[in-house]
Amino acid sequence: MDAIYEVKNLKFRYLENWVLDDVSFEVIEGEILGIIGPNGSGKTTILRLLSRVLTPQQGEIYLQKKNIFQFQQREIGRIVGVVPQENYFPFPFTVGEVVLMGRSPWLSGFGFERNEDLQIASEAMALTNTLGLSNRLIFELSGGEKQRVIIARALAQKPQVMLLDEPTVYLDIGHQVEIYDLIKKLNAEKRLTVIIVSHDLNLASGYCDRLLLLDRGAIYEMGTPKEVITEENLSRVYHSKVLVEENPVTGAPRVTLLSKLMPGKFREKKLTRSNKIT
Amino acid sequence: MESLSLRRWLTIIFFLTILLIGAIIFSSFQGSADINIKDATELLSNPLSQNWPNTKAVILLKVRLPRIILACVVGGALAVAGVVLQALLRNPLADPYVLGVSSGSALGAIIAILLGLNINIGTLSSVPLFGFGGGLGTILFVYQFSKIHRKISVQTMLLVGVVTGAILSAVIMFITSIAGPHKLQGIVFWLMGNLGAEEYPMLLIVSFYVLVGVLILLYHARGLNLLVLGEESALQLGLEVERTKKVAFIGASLITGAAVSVSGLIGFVGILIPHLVRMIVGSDHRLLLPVAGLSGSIYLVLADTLARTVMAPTEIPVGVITAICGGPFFIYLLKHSKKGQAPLL
Repeated sequence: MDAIYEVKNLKFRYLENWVLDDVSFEVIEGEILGIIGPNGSGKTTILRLLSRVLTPQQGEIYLQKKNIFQFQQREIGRIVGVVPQENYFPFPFTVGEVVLMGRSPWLSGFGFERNEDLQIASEAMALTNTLGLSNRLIFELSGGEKQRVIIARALAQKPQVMLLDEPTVYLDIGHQVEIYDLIKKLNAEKRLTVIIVSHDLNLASGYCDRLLLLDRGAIYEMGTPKEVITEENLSRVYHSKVLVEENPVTGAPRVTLLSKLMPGKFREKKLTRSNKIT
Repeated sequence: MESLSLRRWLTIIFFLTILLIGAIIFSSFQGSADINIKDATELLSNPLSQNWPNTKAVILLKVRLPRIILACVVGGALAVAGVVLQALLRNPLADPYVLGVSSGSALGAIIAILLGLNINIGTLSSVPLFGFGGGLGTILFVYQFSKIHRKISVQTMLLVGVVTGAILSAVIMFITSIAGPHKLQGIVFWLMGNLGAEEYPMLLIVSFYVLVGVLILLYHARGLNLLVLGEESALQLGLEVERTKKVAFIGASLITGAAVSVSGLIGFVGILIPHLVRMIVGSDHRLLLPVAGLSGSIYLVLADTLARTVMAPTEIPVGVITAICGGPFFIYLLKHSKKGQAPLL
């Protein structure tokens, strides 16, 4: 199994503080990698660096064994599809127009879309259950509908890697599962490599092959969900007491947040009786 | 699923071009001198004939037609510049004058008027040349100061442009305040916007220049669609964002500078037409840009026709017509169209 991304000694800062400090890791082709960590730990920054929106001050990134800075912007657009967390449209585009923008890396010049582009965009919309929204204006949609449209746009790029930044943050639980199931399906059927930044530890743990836990710009732990999601790791990184058990349905680690308001002795009791993952 | 097809594009553009030609022809017949179709066809079939009633030829060819062509060029330039700047600044309130180029051109022209310069390069008069020089200087200045780490920062550009425009406008006000009464009239008249001032050589140069500028911007229309999404998304969708920003800013500013240099400050075209057209044909710049250009041309030709006929023989400044007619119509459309409403967030 090849590494589709190799990141070596990455250092990045926006202003004075190093947001990422000597980070190295690999993303294996065909895996679903989850990036988790507290706010400000550098998760979104990593996605920006992997899609070449930002340039690291130090370090190297290799995409498909080639230095990412040797690609043309368009070539990257054909390989990497990104679903950003925030999407603002100052002008009234229709949903169809937005999804078709995903074909942009494959168009040239003035760029009228060809039948094949329309076909691909339609498929992407069918997969995300947004075909019916095709003629609606993008800012008439609910947060969840808009999110699915953006995912369709990324799918229309026919990427080999998808980077998603908190893709389910505006979605209800039904749609959350729908999106993650879709990702899992695309990953299995089309060998789509997926990198997801998520605050939802349980969804990440359930669907990801590996997790990368970031803490203040450095990798705290990287490995399978069972290896990474432990009470010790999470309580250290998030400065919060958690309970980690085994999900009875999936077998993956399940995280329960423990309130600081709980009486101390009750918390201790709970901890000793849990099925701790070792 | 529907998308913009070549056929639809050609149909709409063709239709508008016919409308424009119609407006030009219509406008040629309007005016205080009475010229009718018979006269016009006689002239066209034999332009050098001695039999033609000479005054009518003079009026048509030397007074009306240049004016109409200028209206065409300026209207198109301002509308296209408006569309491009709205995309670049991701803001539907942007107009071609917001980045200060117009103030720079105005200042250049006014200095030429003030100094009574009569330096003619060939047959080109000095006022528009100075105007263009002023505009160019402003573009270079704003461009240089918009760069952060060699990349253009659009937020910085907006601030620098607005401040520069304000400073230049203040200088213009100062000059206006100290100018003698004779010069004052010339200055104020120029500032109000006037489509009657140019002769063919300058006209042809400006037309060619604006046409080339518009075509270059048109080529980047798809890029503008992406730029509107924000630089991060545009990059991720494969756009060469820096290049597109540069072309957009420089292109829009140059055609604005050219338009202002020859016709003064005509308002309401650069902000009204882009909005109006967007409401009707949508936000895809591949269609929006050329349609706005043609619509701007038609609009200004008709507005100018009105300006010179409604209170004939007095001429109302065309900027008055564009504001009075355009404003209420726009408000009406805004209330009745879903597409016109900007998002609340």
